[in-house]
Amino acid sequence: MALIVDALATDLGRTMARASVEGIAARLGLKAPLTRDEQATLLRALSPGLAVFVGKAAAEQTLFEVHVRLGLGGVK
Amino acid sequence: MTARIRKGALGALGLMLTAVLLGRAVVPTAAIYQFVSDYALRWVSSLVEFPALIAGFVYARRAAERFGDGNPAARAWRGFAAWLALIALGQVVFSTYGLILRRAAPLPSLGDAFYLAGYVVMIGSLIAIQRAHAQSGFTVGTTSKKGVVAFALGVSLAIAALVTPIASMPGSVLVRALNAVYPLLDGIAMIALFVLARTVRVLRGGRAWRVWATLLLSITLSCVGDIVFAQFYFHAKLSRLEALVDLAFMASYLLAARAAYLQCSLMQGVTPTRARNEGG
Repeated sequence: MALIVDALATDLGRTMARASVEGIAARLGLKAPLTRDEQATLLRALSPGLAVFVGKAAAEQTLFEVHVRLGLGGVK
Repeated sequence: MTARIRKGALGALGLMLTAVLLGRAVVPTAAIYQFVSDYALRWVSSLVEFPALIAGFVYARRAAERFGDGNPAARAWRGFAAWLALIALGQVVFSTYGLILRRAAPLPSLGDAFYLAGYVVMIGSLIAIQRAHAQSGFTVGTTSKKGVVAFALGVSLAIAALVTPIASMPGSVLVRALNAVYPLLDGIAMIALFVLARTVRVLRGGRAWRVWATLLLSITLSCVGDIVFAQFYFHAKLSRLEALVDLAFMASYLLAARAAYLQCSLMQGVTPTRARNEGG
């Protein structure tokens, strides 16, 4: 989850990024360490919320980069 | 001219203008004001404020378009664009009276209608963005209900102190009601700003923080300008504070334009200018 928090922190700041990622993960019932499927699920769940702050295109770009860095392939 | 020199020159010009306007309020008898009249200062303020409002309108509209219809933030940015457009229209009316016709605008005037509509739209936009942030599912910070109630109570008392003397003023009911509505709207806006401040606090360190901190400061300065204006309206001896009001509004509109520009940059990942050059 640290990598996801780092990616979101650029736009949202570390406090909001960490609280939001942990909050949404908890809502989805996900606990660290996350499996690859869980990571993908979490990224999908973060997309609409991030879009409220940076727009859909930038949100998708940020999360796509995380996908790649996590080795989940290029699937958005 | 390189961007760095241009930035430095604009900064220096801004500082000079700030010093002249502040000086008019603090040391109105200074020698410089024998050469720089209030009329000239009003021209300068208008020449800064109007382009800032137009730029803010353009960028806020662009931000709304980039968010797209399905995004709840789009409505708020459309609202901020409308706020800046309405204030610009109000400026046109008031500047026409003050600078072209060289007489005070009647009360009420069409300018008041634009200003009041702008205020209502701005408050609506602040509420809309808070709802959008809440709907995001992200952790947007917490403000205790007690804190909000205490702040609202404090603001209400302060506004009541400002509005009460209006009741005993000469003039028609319409004029008195109009003079009371401005501080009342300022009060509502300040409560909305207090709630927005919690989001700004948790965004610290992120690029979105710059957008919302800048807009928060912009609207706060607009409210402060309005409240100071209300004071010198009732106490004629405070008329020299007009320069301070101009300064507050000028800074407010420049910051609003800056906030809208930053929001566009944030959505593009690069600055809008660069994006356009790249065909974006």
